[in-house]
Amino acid sequence: MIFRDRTTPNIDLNFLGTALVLAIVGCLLVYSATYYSDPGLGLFKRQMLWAVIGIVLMIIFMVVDYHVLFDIAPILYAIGLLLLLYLVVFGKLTANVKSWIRFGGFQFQPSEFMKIFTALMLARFFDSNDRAYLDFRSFLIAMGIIGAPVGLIIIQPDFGTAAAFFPLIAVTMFFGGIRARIWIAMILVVAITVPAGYIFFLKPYQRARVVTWLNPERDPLGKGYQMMQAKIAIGSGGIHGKGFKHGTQAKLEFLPARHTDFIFAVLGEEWGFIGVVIVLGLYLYLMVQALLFAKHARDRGGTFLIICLISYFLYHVSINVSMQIGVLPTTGIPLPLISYGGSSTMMFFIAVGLILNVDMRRFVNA
Amino acid sequence: MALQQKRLLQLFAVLAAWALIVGARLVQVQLVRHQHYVARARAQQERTLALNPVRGSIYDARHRVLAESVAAESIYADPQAITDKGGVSKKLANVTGVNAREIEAKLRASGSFAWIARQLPLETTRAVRALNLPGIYFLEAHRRSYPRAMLAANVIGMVGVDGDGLAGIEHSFDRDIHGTPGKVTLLKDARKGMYLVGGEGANAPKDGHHVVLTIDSVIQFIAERALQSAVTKYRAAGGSVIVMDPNDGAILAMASAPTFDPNHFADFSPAAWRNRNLQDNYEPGSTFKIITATAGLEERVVTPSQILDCGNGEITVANVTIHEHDGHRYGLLSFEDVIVNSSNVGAARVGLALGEQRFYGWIRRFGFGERTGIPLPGEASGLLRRAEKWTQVSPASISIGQEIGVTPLQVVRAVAAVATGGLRVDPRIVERVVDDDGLTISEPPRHPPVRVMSEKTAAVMNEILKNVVARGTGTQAALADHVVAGKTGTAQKAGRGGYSADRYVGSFAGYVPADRPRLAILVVIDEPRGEYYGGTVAAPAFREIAEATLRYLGVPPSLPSRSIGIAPPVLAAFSQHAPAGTAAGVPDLHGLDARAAIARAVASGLTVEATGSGVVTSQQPVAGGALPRDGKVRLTLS
Repeated sequence: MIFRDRTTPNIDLNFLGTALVLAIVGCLLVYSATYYSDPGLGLFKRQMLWAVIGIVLMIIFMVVDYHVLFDIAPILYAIGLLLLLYLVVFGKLTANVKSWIRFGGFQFQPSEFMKIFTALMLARFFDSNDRAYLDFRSFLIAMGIIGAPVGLIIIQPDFGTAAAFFPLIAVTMFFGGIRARIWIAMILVVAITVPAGYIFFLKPYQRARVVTWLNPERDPLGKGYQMMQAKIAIGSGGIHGKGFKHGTQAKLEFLPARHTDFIFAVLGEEWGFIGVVIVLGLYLYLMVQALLFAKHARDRGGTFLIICLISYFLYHVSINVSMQIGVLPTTGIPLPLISYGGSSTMMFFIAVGLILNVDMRRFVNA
Repeated sequence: MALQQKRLLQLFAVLAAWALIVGARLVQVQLVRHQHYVARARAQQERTLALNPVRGSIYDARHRVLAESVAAESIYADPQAITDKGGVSKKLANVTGVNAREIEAKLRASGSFAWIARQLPLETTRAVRALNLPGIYFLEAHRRSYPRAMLAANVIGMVGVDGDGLAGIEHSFDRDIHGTPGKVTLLKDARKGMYLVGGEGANAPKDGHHVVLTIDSVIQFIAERALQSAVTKYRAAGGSVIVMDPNDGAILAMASAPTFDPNHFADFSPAAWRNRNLQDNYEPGSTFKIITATAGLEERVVTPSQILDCGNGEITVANVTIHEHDGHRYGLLSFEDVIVNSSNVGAARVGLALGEQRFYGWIRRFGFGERTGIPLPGEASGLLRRAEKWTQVSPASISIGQEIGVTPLQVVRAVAAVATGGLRVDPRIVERVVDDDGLTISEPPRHPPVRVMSEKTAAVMNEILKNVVARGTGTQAALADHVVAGKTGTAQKAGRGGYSADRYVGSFAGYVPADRPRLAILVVIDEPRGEYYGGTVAAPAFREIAEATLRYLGVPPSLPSRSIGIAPPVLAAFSQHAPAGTAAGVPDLHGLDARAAIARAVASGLTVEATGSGVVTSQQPVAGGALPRDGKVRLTLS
């Protein structure tokens, strides 16, 4: 049942290795960013634990045939929606956002796992829909699959995470294929519902969050300050960087969220241009390789699953890096496999597992 | 599937575009603008604290300390770390003596740094430490101390609270004394905490060198005491004294009144900080006749024994009438007596005979109208108009020390030129700059002496100036054990619209012992009340200083007995027009006055028997004759 065919030897070790190297780099950077402010190394140790758990999850999501996962996708998707609903109703506000569920000694963000479940759901949908262009009904179904979790996350309200579902919309429209009239209809719907929702449904504090999210420069001592500090860190790193554990911007606590959203700045400061280029090269390799996997995938569902997952990588890496070098406004979004954080680390390891899953089952008659 | 392939390719293109944009931006931020971000990182992460070097000392010629730096501490506060601002202020005020309200105002200010009190003695800061107040910090500092208080204050100057020399040697030798500050780099974190970076970035300050002056504290004290008592006695506005070694230009004492205590200089008027000896101009009056007389002799417009018509007390030049002092009405005076009695009319005649160009040239030759170059700040160059701008009366006025502004330092240099036999030596006040081990770091350059007059002229002037003290206007400068040469000066102060009738500058310039000078001294008393003649207000101070200083220096008496056996005058022996070859026979003494005739005769190995008074009208044996066997020449004067 689990092994429909004997495919285990076909694991792409380069891809897996690259992902593991990125996770190791992440652990090192978390160590360098926290060892002085957290002498017990609790954060570093926990990140290693997240990575181990992530690897276990990765193996599970790699070994179980993705077609089986497509079969149970509606169940996973439903559980995810219920958890999000639970949060909306019973969740406790943490930093004004109800995005965490406490479970024993741990807490996790269902929204991160929902990214995977939604991608599975969407891929499953496309697996059965093999037309070159989506008809209107199919398009609405796809939007509904994406829209349900996004709506619940917006209510939390966590716009940054909600926006992370945007790649799925882009994949649907771009790879699903839609006609011009649907493009126009989409634009009209967005143009009407977004302002209306903003005005009629959001509470003032939620609106305030939308405003800061869109325009961080309005808060120069907040996000604008953070972006400037990140730029100073990266820029002062120069070619070689200041060396492992020698980043002054981080150590003197000028950098905000050093081990999470701004860990790329620590990388830029300590490992310099060379380190940054290597790490971004690893990401690029990961994405290009995944696209090749998508190209050779056995079926449309596999192709779409990889594209959905790699779109998450592309989105997270590009947004995170761009905001720190001042190309885009800042928003709280982790760097895949590197930033500290259990839910995010596990989610990206699962994504790696799923991509390998599709790849190793690419031979139709294996 | 072709469509799907195309879409994948498009996604590749998107990836490539993104990689390009991010790559370009990284190149810009990390490579192109690297230095900019390094600077910004430094600016917010580092604080450089200057470590002040210890300021060097100032010593007198015998290495007595005149100025030194003593350990002290400054107290500063982080106002934000203090909650009970009122209570802390009161406690600090009790110990430091700083006003409590002042402290509280500083503590209420925004920011995280405020000086509470600077450069406090260590016992005070120890008491503050004992209070154990939060947010109060200490910084090692040094306090300038002048252990001899007012002694030589106008020469030494003082140091501001930030350690910069503000006046005097403290200012002009600031670069040597100050030392090189070091620095230490502190790291500052985002929450304003400070970390000391061990070793790296720290660089120790280099302490300042020490300045050794030519001033001798004892002579300085003698000069200041004499000046102060003269100023007090004559209720003068001020005064100045310079004691100089004429042979090498070393200033042994330089006193200026009023003066101040550099330990508390802010409590004194800035006028008291001045060094009148070089920062102020005055009209020298008759002391300037030394220059007039020298120029006259050198230019041969007059001979020492020449009789000058002193016009019964007045001379009129271009409608300006010059009178004698004190209403004297001299008739015929020998040139020597013109100087000895300080005849204005006689001196004016010499000045007029010299004419503008020649006279101006001689004044410049003595160094008037230019700075002496002494390494003290604010030296004035005096006021001397170029000859082309002189009026018809200028040669007459300047010959008696009017219409010209000079500094006391210029005058003492001019007088010293007579004392040295004609060499002008520039004054110097710094012997050398030394390091902690006493090794010489540098010595101010010494200018070689410049001959400004012939030895002969200097000898003649020496005799004349001796007579000023022996029997002229300067008798109060005379010493028991030494022959003094000098010249008095009394100048009306120029005010608006002419000379003031009641404001004078009385001075005496001279040197001692006259025939082997050790000291050149100038005493200037500004605006004395009651008496105002230089011979009265300044000459006694000269005597007091000269007497005490010579005794201190251990100069043996140069006059073994005062009552008898005075060396015969030898003045005429140096007369410039002495006929050549007279040494072989009896000299021609016709037309000479008694002193000159006697001098010339003595120079020829003869003794004199004279009858009558006036000038020699006949002599026996006659000029050119063989020397008489009894060695006597008999003169008739009329």
